[in-house]
Amino acid sequence: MNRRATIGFAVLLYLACSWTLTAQVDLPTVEEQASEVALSAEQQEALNGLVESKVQELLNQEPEGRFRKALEDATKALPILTWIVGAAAVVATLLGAVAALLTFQAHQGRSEIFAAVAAAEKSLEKTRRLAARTRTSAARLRAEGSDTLRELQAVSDHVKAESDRIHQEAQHVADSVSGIYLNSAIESLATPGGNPESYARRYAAIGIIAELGDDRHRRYLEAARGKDYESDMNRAEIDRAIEKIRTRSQRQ
Amino acid sequence: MCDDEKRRVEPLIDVLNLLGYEATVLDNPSDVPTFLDEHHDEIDVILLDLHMPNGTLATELNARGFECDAREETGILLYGYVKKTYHLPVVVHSVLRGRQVMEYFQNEKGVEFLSKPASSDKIVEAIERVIGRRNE
Repeated sequence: MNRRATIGFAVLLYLACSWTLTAQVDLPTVEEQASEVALSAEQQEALNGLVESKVQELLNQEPEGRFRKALEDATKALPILTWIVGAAAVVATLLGAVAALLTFQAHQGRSEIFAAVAAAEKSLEKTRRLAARTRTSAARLRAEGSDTLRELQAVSDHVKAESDRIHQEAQHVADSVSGIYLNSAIESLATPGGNPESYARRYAAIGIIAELGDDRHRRYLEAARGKDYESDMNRAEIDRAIEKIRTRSQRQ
Repeated sequence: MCDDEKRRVEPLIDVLNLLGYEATVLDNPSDVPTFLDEHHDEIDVILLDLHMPNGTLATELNARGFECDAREETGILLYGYVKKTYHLPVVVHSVLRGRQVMEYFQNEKGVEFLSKPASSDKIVEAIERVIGRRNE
C-alpha cells in the first residue's frame, strides 16, 4: 500500500512539474488552492469548537445514544484527520513551491530565449544591413569596373590604331628606302663601263638587287649578264643573285 | 624622252638600253616638233615631263598649224600636239599632280601618269604597258 502511494505521489509530482513546465501553470492558482486546503491554528480551533458543539448537539438530540459512540470515535479521530489534512497542505505547499521554482526557471529560460532571439534578430538585421551595403558597394564597383574596362578598351584600341599606323608608316619608309636602294642599284647595273670602278659598282649593285629585288628584277640581272662588257666575276655573282631571288620567291 | 632635267633621266636611258630599248632625251621642248617630224615612225612611246620652260614651243606649234596658248603648261601643249598629229602613246612623268592636271589625264585614253620621281623599274613597267596596249 505504501509503495503504491509513493509511486502515485511521484507520478503526481512528475505530472505537476511537466504540466507546469509545458503549460506554464499560473503559480498563484496552485498557491491559492494550497492556501485553501491549509488551515490556520485559529481556523482549526474554530473548526474543533464547531465540531464539538455539533457533536454535543447531536448527542443531545439522540437520546438513545446510538450515534454517541460513533461520534465520540469520530471525535477521537479528528486529530488524525487534522494531521492528514495538515500533511496534505504541506505537500501541496511543497508542490506549489516546486512548481513556483520550475515556473520561475521556465520564465527565466524563456526570458533567456527571448533575449537570445532578440540578439539573433538584431544580429540578423545587422547582417541584412551589411549585405545591403555590400550589394550597393558591389554594384558601384561593378559600374566603376565597367567604366574602367571601357576606358581601357578605348585606350587599347587607340594604342592599337596608333601602332598599326606607325607600323604602316615604318613599312612605307622601309619600302621607300628599299625602293631607292633598288632603283639606284638597277641604274648602276645598267651603266656600262670596263674599268675597275665600273665593275665594282655593278658588283655592289648585283648584291643589292639580290637582297631587295623580286621576280620583276631578275630580267635586269639576266640582261646585264648578257652584256659583252661584263666581267666573269660579275656574271658569277649575277647567277648567285638570280638563284637567290628565285629561291626567295618560291618560299613566299 | 622630253625632260629639261637631262642629267636626272640619263640613268633611265642606260636602263632602257640594258633591256634592249633605244632611248633618246631632248631637254629643250622647242626641239620636239622637229624631232617628231624626222623620227615619228621610229618612236614607240614618249616619256614626257610637264613642267618645263616654254621657249619657242608655242611659236613652233603655231607654225605647224596647231593653235595653242603659250600660257599653257609646256608638257600639256606637247601632249596635245603629239596626240593630234602623230597619235603616239605617252607616259607622263611629272611633279605636277594638281587636281586639274590629274582630271585632264584621267580622261585621256592610253596615257600613263607617273608622279616624279618614279623609280626606273616603275617607268619601264609603264612604258611596256602602253607599248603592249598599242600592239594589241
